[in-house]
This record gives sequence, C-alpha cells and structure tokens, in this order.
Amino acid sequence: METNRMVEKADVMSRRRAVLLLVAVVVFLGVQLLIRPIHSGPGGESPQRLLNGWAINVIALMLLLVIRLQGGLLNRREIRNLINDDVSREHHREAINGGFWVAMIGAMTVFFLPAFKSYTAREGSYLIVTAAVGFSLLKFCYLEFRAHRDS
Amino acid sequence: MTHSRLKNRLREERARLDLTQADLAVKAEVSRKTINTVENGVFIPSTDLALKLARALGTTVESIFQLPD
Repeated sequence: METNRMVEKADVMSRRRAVLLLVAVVVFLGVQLLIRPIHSGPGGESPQRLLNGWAINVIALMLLLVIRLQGGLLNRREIRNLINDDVSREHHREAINGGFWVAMIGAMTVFFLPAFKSYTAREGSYLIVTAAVGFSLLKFCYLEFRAHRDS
Repeated sequence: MTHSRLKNRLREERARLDLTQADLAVKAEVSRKTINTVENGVFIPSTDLALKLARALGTTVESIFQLPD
C-alpha cells in the first residue's frame, strides 16, 4: 500500500537524518574545539583565519538549517511531512530553545572572560556559536534517537 | 502510560485491534515515531493528532486520553 511505504520510508529517512546530523555535529565540534581554525596565534588575523571564520559560520548555519529542512528536498511532500511531523517540530523547538540559553550563558561568560584571558571579538563569537550550535544539534539528535527507540 | 499532564491508553487501544505501531501510523497517516512517543508519554499530542488517532482506532479521544486525577 502506498501509505504503508511512505510511512516506512519516512521512518528510515528520519533515523538516517538523526545519524547523519550526529556525525556532522561531532565533526563540527571536533574541528571547532581541537583545530580551532580562527584563533589568534603567531599569524594574527591572517586572511586564511578570516576565511576560516566565514566558512565556519556558513557551516554552522547550514547545520541549523538541516534540522528545519523538511526531510530533504528530494522526497515527496507527503514523506517530508511525515519526517518533519509534530514530534520532530517539537524536538526542533526544544533544541533551539536549549541553544538560545547556551548562547546567553556563553555570551555572559565571554563578557567576564577578559578578566582572566584576552581574546578578540571573533574568538568570543566563535565560542558562543560553537557552544550554541553544538548544543542545539546534539539535543535534537538525542531527542530524535529517543523517539525512535522501541518501547 | 501516565504522563504527568496526561494519562493515555493508546497502547491498550492499539493492542485491542491487534495493530503494530507501524500499522497504526499508517492508519492515522502519521509517523511511527509519533505513535511511539505518544504511547511512551514522552509527547503530548496536539488536538488534530489526538483526533487522527481516535479515528484510526475507531474510538473517541476521551477513551484514549484523560487528565490525571
């Protein structure tokens, strides 16, 4: 039956989205925290570091958009609606809410940090975006995995 | 299953008709993930979702979902 196939396909695609997103956010956080491609060093604010900063902002934005893309643009609307159903939309809201609070706490932390260590505005922004985007995506993945777990 | 804000008998109603979660998802035209999270009390359904589930099970919303005492 057509509806049967759509529900099954949506189930598979929804799980796949959670897995791919988890891999993407782990890689994103790994790059941000271990490689730290924009932090000041002997090279100062080199063109390469500026380009890295732009690239990272674009990647962070794309990752956030992934959880809003309705199950990918290649699927039929009915399947996209099943993938991005009430539960996923609620997960998205919870993830974004959590990211907001992490961003606020991050911003307040960054406000007081110069008392202990100097850093540039870009580095501060980098910390806030990394923490907020990472938290949002990890929370979304966790909620999606929990929803798919069999009772 | 009892959620702190809503009691639900979705699993029992589904079992009454000998349906799997996937079967019910197909009948209600929602995802299996939705059925799973509502049954487990993790997700409180919206009005239209509750109505879809009731229609799919051939019963009323009140027989599936109740407010806690």
